[in-house]
Formats: sequence, structure tokens, C-alpha cells
Amino acid sequence: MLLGAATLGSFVIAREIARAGKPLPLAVAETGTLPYLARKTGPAAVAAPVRAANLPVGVFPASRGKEALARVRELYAATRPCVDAIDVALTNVGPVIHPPLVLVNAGAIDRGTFDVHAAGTTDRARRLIDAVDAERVASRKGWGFPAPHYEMATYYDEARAAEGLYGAGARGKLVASGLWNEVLTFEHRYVSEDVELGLPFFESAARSVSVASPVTSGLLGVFAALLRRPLAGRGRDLDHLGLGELTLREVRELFHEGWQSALWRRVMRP
Amino acid sequence: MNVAVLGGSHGAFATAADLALAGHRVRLWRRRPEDLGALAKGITLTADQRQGPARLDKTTADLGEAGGSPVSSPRGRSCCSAPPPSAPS
Repeated sequence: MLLGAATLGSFVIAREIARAGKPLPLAVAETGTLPYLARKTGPAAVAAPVRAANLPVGVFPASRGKEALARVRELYAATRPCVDAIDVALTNVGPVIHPPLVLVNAGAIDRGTFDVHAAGTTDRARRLIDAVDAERVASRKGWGFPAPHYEMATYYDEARAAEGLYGAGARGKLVASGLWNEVLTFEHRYVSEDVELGLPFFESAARSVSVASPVTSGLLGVFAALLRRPLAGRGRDLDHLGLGELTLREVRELFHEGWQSALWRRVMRP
Repeated sequence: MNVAVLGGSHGAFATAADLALAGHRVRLWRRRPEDLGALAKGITLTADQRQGPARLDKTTADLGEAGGSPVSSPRGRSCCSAPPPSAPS
């Protein structure tokens, strides 16, 4: 089973399958980023001007990684193996790029059609994106996950594009397509997923390794006000996922051994 | 490979069409049967490199019929709220 850009969805869905008493698959893999930057253009038509050039993939449980990744590679030659599901979730740049773009362009978004990736990506928006990304990368290093870290700068700096998730010319192709000139709302997945699920995960992942994440936390606070509901400590926050009682070593063991771990029973409790 | 794509999002359409064009046997599951009619002739993908009209092996609103190796739609919601097919890999 393969999930696209799932922010620990591999762990979540495996646990839901187990809780439902259904047979678990060989493994659940998840990508760090979207395999395609795509928009539907009709009832049976879709445009994908950009494909992932480097597609990080993590497997839950990581002990099944070799076999699972071989299957994923049959589908996506750009597959780049990650250590585990936490590693790959920390390559997800959705929560890096979208919350800042939605926040700094909230006025334009409220008024109607707007392309946050074109007119909305100003130098000041980039500053916020880079600040969130620096916290994500610091967190990755705190966890000991190896490079590449797929820094967001690789998407904006053509000189580094080859080492990025989407390769050379990606942003130009995306903007030129005009397909992202769209009506966003605060119900859009940029918010419902990247803000509500992704940022709490980032915040908790940083906290777990004593990395400061003031910008990530600040975004959560501001979006909580915009949405008029609490966000921090929810979504895919590691504590909220039931992992708060585990030591860091135990979390790593759980993500390696999965449902074969003695710890599985502890995280199965509702 | 036999592939089941679960969902009907932007990413699901791209995944289903692209993997079908790559020669995989793709079944697409959507929650609502009324959403299947438009897909009878497949999905047309416009992209760099591999693109064009893609024929799907099957479209269905029955998860059991989808079978294959599930690939959830990137960002698809259906993957995580519905039980997956019984024989995933």
C-alpha cells in the first residue's frame, strides 16, 4: 500500500486496519512529496506539468523497507529510500510552503481567484517559508536523519533544482500552466492537511529532539485564530498519535518493527 | 503490476492515468458510483514526457472489486476513511 505525501499516514492507516481487525498488508509506504503536481482539467482529464524528480519514500514498518521499496520503484523510478516513516514525513514540504503562502495572502485568497505560487510568492513570503524550512531541517538533523534534506530553497533556486524534489524548471512549469490560479478557501487541503495535520507534526517532531520551532508554533497559533479552533497538539502531533509515552528510542523501534514490535500493543489503545 | 488507485482527486487522476500509460493494469475506485460514468473511456493526462489518453482496467465504487496493490490518491481522503482492499501489498 502506498500513500501520497501522508505525514505519518502509513502508521495511522496501519493502526486503523489493525484496530478494525483486518489483515495488514506487507507494509504501508508513504511518499514525502506528491508524485505529481496536478490539477484536473475536466471530468476525465488531468494536467500534471510537474513530476517528482526525487521522490522520498518511507515504509512502515521500516523492517519491510527493502521488499516494499522494490514494489514502489516499479511504479516510480524516482523513488529515494528514507530511513522510516518519520524520516519521510519530515521531507514533506507541503506544511513548509502552503501555510506561509496562505497566511501572507489571506486577503487575496478571501477575495477570490489567486495564484499563491505566482503573485503570492513574494520575497517576504519566501522569508517565512525559509524560516519554517530551517526548523524542519534542524528537526531532521536532531532526529539524525541523513541528507538530502530537500531544502525548500532547491525549488526556488534553479542552480540547486537538480537536488530538489521536482527538478529543473519545476516552478516555472507550474506557474506557466496557470492551473494554480484558483479559488482557495480555508477549507482547502493547504489548510486542512498542511496546517492542521502537518504543522502539529513538525512542531512535535522538533520538540522531541529539543529543537526550537518558534515559527512553526507561531503559524499554528495564528491559524488557530483564523480558523477559530485549537490546532497545536492535535492533528499528527506525535503525542496526539499516542506516542507521547514512548521514549525517542522506543518511537524509532516502533517505526522499524511496526506491528511486530512489543510496543504496538501500547499504541493500539484508543 | 496490478494497481488500485483509491480516490478521485487531482492526484488520483494523475496517478491512475500515468501508471496506466506506463503499462500497469489500473483500477480506479471512487466512493460514489455516479462519479464513474465520466471515466468510462479512461482519463487523459497532459504532462511532460508520458501523456495522452489512458485506458483504465476498471472503474468501480466497490472496494472489493478494486483489488490490486492500493495506491491512495496523493492527498486523497478516501484512502484513510475507508477500509482498503483485502489483499494489499
